Amino acid sequence: MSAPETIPASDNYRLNWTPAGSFHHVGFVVASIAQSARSLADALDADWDEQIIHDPNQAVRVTFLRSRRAGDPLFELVEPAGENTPVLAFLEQGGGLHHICYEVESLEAALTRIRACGALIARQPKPAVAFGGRRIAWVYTKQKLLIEYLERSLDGK
Amino acid sequence: MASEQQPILDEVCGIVSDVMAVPTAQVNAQSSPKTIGTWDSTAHLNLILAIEEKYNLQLSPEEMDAMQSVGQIAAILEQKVSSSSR
Repeated sequence: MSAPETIPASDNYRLNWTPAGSFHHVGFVVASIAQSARSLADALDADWDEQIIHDPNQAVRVTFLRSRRAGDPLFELVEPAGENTPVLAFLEQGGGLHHICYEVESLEAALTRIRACGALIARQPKPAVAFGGRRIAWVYTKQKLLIEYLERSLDGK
Repeated sequence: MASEQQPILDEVCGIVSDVMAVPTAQVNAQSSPKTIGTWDSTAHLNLILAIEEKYNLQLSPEEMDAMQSVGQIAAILEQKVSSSSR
């Protein structure tokens, strides 16, 4: 069996798997995508295209599983890429379910709205390689839920 | 100035003690992620949430980034509390 393909940042990869609704994906932190993706895809009745995307801005590698049930969100596997990665401490505590991601029309509007609910902006908007340069931002709610917002369009308009 | 900051410093020590699950006696102005093992990035967010709730205020991203020790947190809060009471 050949090793999964790792896509460098310079390839400007754009994710083709797009869920119908705004609930885009569930993030799950693992030590090794290569060692866990296939069996997790089987468990979730999902497909895996074996494409692993390196995002140096986030210091992670990610891949996506697509449910065979229409309308389901994607499932994102995240593994650390280097020492200075935001998911390392989480992985050291066992890893597993990490965040949920919603697609939004405007990051600024979404952040303003949830900040008014008392949530924190854990990371300000930044382009993400895994989404072809579309911007993401991270929010941490008072209920200790980590939410990723993914802007729907590349230029934020 | 130092005497004005002391009550807030004591309160921050108590919040850090609660959030980081360490005895209050082990928390002082110099305490930071480097000295408290449980003070990781998620614990830091929990700490900011607890501070915002306690003082009923919102911190800017710059203020959150600058809060890298108990002393720095107390100093920023002292400044915000005193400016809001003017």
